Amino acid sequence: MSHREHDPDSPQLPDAAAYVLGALEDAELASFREHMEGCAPCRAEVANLQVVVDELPRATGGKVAKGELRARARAHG
Amino acid sequence: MPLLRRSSVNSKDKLRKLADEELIELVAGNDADAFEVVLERHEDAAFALAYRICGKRSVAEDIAQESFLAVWRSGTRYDRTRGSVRTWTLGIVHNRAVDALRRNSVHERRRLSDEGIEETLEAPERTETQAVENATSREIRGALGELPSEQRRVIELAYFGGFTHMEIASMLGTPVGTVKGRMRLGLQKLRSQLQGWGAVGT
Repeated sequence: MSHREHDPDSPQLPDAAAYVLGALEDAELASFREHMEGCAPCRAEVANLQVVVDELPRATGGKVAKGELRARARAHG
Repeated sequence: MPLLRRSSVNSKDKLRKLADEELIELVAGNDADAFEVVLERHEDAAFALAYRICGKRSVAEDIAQESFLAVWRSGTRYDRTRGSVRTWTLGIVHNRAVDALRRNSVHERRRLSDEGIEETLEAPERTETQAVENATSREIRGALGELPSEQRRVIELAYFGGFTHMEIASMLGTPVGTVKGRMRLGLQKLRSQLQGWGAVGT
């Protein structure tokens, strides 16, 4: 797939958004991951959109009690 | 396996100045203090994501806890070429929360309405130290709220609802390609908004 390496219009580019949202079907997920290895535009798109998705949890306002998870982690040991 | 196998030779203050990627290397060497710093940085996002997806505080706490234990146990498997530590951690949380959601029957799956993402949440607890973080949360929530509803909806259904793009297309009665396109447009808009606030790099 090296011929797609520098193709800014990679046909699988639209899959990147669904990928970072965890919304690809299982079969698509495997093939997109494989494709991404050799496709710089898709890797760049994923990187660009992933930072946005990583901020989405904070849009919800849900808060864990401070120290709760740390206390649980210690108790687990 | 005891979780806190050994304390760090570094002080917590020193650890807090390290990047996640450096901390995770220490975590891979069973540095419990480094692990706590990683946990401190991402626990709110991890819990909030799990809570938004599964809708129950106790379940969300369990999922967040199990996810961080997975990070602790598999720190050696972190591969920085595949994304940041935050992406990796939230990916674990997301998978586990969606799995928990899917174990419930379809009828019990929570509905995501057009009215916004706050309605199913309990009022967020506030403390003084969270004021700054909450301001940014409000901004992100605001940016999401300003998206065209069809874009916001597909993003919420996918990320918080755990639906695949094909499931969403069938629920909304839209072509498959359209759903992917809306996801992309919506995320691109959010990205330019967040860039404007300096919340993400350029």
